[in-house]
Amino acid sequence: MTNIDQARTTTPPPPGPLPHNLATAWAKPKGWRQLTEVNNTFIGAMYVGTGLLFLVLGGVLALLIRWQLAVPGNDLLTPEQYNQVFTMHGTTMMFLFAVPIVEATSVYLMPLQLGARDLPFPRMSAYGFWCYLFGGLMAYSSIFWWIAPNSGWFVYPPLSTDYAGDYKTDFWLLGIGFIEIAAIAQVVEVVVGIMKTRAVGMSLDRLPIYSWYVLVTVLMIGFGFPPLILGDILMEVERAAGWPFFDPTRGGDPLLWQHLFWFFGHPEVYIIFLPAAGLVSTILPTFVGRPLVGYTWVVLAAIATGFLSFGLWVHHMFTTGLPHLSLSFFSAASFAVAIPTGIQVFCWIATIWSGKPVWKVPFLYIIGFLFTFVMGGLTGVMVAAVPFDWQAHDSYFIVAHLHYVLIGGMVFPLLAALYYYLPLASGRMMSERLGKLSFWLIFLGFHATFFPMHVTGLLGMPRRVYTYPAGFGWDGLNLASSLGAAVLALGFVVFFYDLISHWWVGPKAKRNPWGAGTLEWASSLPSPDTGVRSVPRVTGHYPIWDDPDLPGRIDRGEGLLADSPHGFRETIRTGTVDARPEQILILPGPTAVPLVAGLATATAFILAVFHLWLWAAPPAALAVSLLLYWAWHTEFRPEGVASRDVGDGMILPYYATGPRSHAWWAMVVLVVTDASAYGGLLFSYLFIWTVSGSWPPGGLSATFDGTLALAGAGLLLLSVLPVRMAVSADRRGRPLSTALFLVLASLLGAAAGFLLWLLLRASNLPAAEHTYAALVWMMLLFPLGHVALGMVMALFTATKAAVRPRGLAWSHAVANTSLWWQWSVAQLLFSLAVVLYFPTLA
Amino acid sequence: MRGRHVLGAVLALAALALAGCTGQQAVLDPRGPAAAHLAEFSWLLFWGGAAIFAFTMAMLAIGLVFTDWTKRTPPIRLVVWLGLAFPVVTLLALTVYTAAVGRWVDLGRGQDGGEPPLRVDVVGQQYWWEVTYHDGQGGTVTSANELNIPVGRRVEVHLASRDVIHSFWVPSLHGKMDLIPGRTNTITIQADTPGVIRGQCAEFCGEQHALMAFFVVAHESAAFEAWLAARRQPARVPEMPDLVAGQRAFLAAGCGSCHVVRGLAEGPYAAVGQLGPDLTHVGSRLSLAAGTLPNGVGPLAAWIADAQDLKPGNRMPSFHHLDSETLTSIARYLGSLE
Repeated sequence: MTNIDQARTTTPPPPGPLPHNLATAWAKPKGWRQLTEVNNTFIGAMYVGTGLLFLVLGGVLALLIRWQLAVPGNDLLTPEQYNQVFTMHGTTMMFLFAVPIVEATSVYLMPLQLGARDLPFPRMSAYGFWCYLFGGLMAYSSIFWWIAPNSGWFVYPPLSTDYAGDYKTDFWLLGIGFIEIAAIAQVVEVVVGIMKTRAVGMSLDRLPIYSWYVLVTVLMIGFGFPPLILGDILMEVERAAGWPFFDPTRGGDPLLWQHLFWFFGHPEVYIIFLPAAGLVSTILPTFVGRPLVGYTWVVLAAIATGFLSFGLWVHHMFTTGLPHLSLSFFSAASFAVAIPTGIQVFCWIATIWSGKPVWKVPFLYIIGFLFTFVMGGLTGVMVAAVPFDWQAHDSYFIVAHLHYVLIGGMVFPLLAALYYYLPLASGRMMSERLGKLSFWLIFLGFHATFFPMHVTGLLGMPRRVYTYPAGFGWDGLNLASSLGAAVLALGFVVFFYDLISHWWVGPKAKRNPWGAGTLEWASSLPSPDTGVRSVPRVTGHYPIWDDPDLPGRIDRGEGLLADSPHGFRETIRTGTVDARPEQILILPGPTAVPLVAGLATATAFILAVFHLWLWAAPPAALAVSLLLYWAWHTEFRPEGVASRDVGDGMILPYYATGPRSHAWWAMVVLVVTDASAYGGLLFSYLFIWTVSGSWPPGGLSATFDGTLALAGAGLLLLSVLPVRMAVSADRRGRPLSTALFLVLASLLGAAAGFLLWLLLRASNLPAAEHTYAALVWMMLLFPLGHVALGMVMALFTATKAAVRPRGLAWSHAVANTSLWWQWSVAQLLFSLAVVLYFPTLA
Repeated sequence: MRGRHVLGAVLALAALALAGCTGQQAVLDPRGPAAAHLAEFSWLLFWGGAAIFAFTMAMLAIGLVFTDWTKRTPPIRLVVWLGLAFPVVTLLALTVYTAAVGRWVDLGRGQDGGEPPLRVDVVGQQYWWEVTYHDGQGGTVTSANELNIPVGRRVEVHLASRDVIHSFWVPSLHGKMDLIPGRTNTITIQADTPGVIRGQCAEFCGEQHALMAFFVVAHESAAFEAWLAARRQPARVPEMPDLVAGQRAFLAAGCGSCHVVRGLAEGPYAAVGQLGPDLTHVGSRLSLAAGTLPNGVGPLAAWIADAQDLKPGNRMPSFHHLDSETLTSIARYLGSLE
């Protein structure tokens, strides 16, 4: 509690009913203006709803697949249509349903569980959501014109690059790449949210178990997605500009894509599963009335799963002819991931042993989850065994396995969570009767659909075939699967009917209807717009079970931040480990910027798919200007108030800079994430080296001008100095010096960039002719792009510091520009060293 | 205990369904030593997995039913013994066993003393297989969509691709191996009994991935040598007038710009094209268009006329413009190339 400024504090409010200023600060706009709301409960609910919409859209494609395959030789779909349908089914389910909905659930739920009023960067969540909604719908709509991607959700080159036709793969690359970027926004949001905005006393060892899972998950997204984004960039550059990365006739290797894809693709399934396991770990204890057994075990198991999942991507490549030794390594690593999974499963079973079950619908779905997921986990161990995988790989056995782990492991917990948590949003209960009906239809329909596929696969039926001949014993099994799919679909119809109708006809939910122990149930239902009425002090994992009067005390405003004297949306920033209150974060209110920027971004991306560059320019410019407008209005500093009493005699400042601020942490998370993308690029360079006979390969010789390289590197190093001086000038309160130092840094950066551009031009490396040349260009252009972005940031920040807009500050921008600049320079210097010296070592 | 009954029924059903596997393209219907090991391994994994599943579900059921009794057990014991210790031990054993199976099924390994394997090159392309036999004396014979092999002898298949990634899979003989552009992979297979076995492309390779099959025909050793000797011969020279007319029509239609018919290298319309399958002995093959149609004069004519309708997206154009007389005559000529 630094910066206490007694003179400028206000007196704490009297305990009692919701003060008017708090209610107005968090009031949701009415009518169509609701769409400008950025609060997590609104965005989270819309986000979950959109995820469910894509579940339906992906499900319709699944039904088309099952219809086509119901009998041999069916001609419902043409081969090309079928290929688009199964590609879009996988793509929609993985990228537009599964990943977004686990993010959505955390956006909605986590602040409520953490005792925060909102996530730390509400506009960013909103922007990510709108990008996802518009971009996802545009990408999906390609199927309506039969110009959808048609080379599988894994888009292996050369099929996807040279044989897929116009637009199709571009839809995948731009649509998905862009949704991945929205996912990265959630990574920053959620990591900082968990680290920095918790209830008082909610130290890391008291963190709700769901938050642990989500933390591990978003860190995995942060490490796993960027290499795929990098891969997307490489593939789009290969398709649009003809630079070869995956084309073996020009020195590339199709396997490079497989490495980049599966380095993301395997963690992906745990990215989907872990948050669902977090929901199970949260919901299960409520229905047996006992705390989760082995909290620490479960946390460690989740972390272990996160780590191990990055060591097993090659098990998707067991049939590509890699050496036996490396196969054995990845096989063992794949077995190993079963150990933390076993721990979690038995923690859940042990929790059931410790209590007495209450057979409500969410609990039914959890039992359905355990049954299905354990089976899918065991077939997972089977396919991790290399020799068995040689047979099972790309056969229907895998289709069975992956649906057991994904539907069993993720959709069942999600359905449990929807039944369990919807009262938070609607204030009403879903139907127990319809819930049981939908459960049995979905459970039995699921097993009828997917169990036979194990057998179909072992009978030799490969995946991704639009038809199959009769007489191999596949006919009856396929028909069974198709009939099962109809039952499964019927179950979802019942579920969605219940979900939609309960908003009007469901009985009103009483407070804490399931008798849960976690904080999200402490408020009245539906959850008020303010989030928690006042922020309580937390002493354990189950605050309501620990203190049954807690909801009452929260209502009486006995916690912190019970009012908002200045009418701001506020939440408390707490210490990372001990959750000691350190600052009041002022959160933004409703604004249309994320919505319009999201729409503009998505439009620009889709126009770019059709190579309508001129048409794409205006929406792109609009998006960029809106983002800059938004950046200009960050760092709100209320004039005349530096701190206030949040209750309990605790006086907290409104503003903090440097490593104490949430903005600084956000940039650190972003840099770490970006480093993973750069790692992917470096991996690509080294990978092509390992598969090439000599380096530079193919009789190429590069002529790098040593003087240019030295001068460029020198200028870059030099540019770090004014950036750091800008930070210290800002700290000493000298905005004009800050601005000048930032401009100087930009000039040095521009000069260095120009020299390195000359170096590339003079290097005699035609990027379109050989992978080596393309990689050298990419190794330098990627960090040069970072420096260019850094220049934009520096000039923007310099302007803000020079203008000093009323009520707005720029210190976060200075500190973050400095972080970004130093990282970009480090990256560029490293690239330069690799490009120049690695060939002499290799 | 109802849960366990249901479970037992499900398992019995599964075993029944799996045991019913017969036919010529099935993992559990092995026709060679590697596939036999793999089938045995599959059964081991299946029964092991089934037992662990049954046990885990039993533990779950106990927790759900005997709630008073289970409360007396310190719950963390379940986690330590069943969640941690049991998987560690089981998976360690499985790792060792898996490595052993991997060695047993690697037929290309450590048999230097025995008969050298027959080498066959398979080149995948959208959507068929080019097959080239090495006779061991430096000679080669090229054919398509059919792999004829001698029983009891190892066959070293070299796999490459001319366009996209494909995968070579004959479940009754071995697991699959990818054909990757720019690389050559090898898999060694062996059949133990004579017969026809079906295989199929297992890596999604484009529009007609579903119709990219092939047959493995396993012969007794002597029969195989005879077969190979016959394939070394150039195409049969037609003598009957209608076949001669068919050959002329075949050449006049321009078929030779994509297809090879060995022996027809001379003249204004030679058959030396490299884009489509070698047709020198097409009449002796089991199927047309990579397992799409059975072989015969009728299917041949249908295929020539309507290739794009029968297998849309393949590289062979439909020859709609040929009249039915010409079509029949070409088909009869090709059918005679045995």
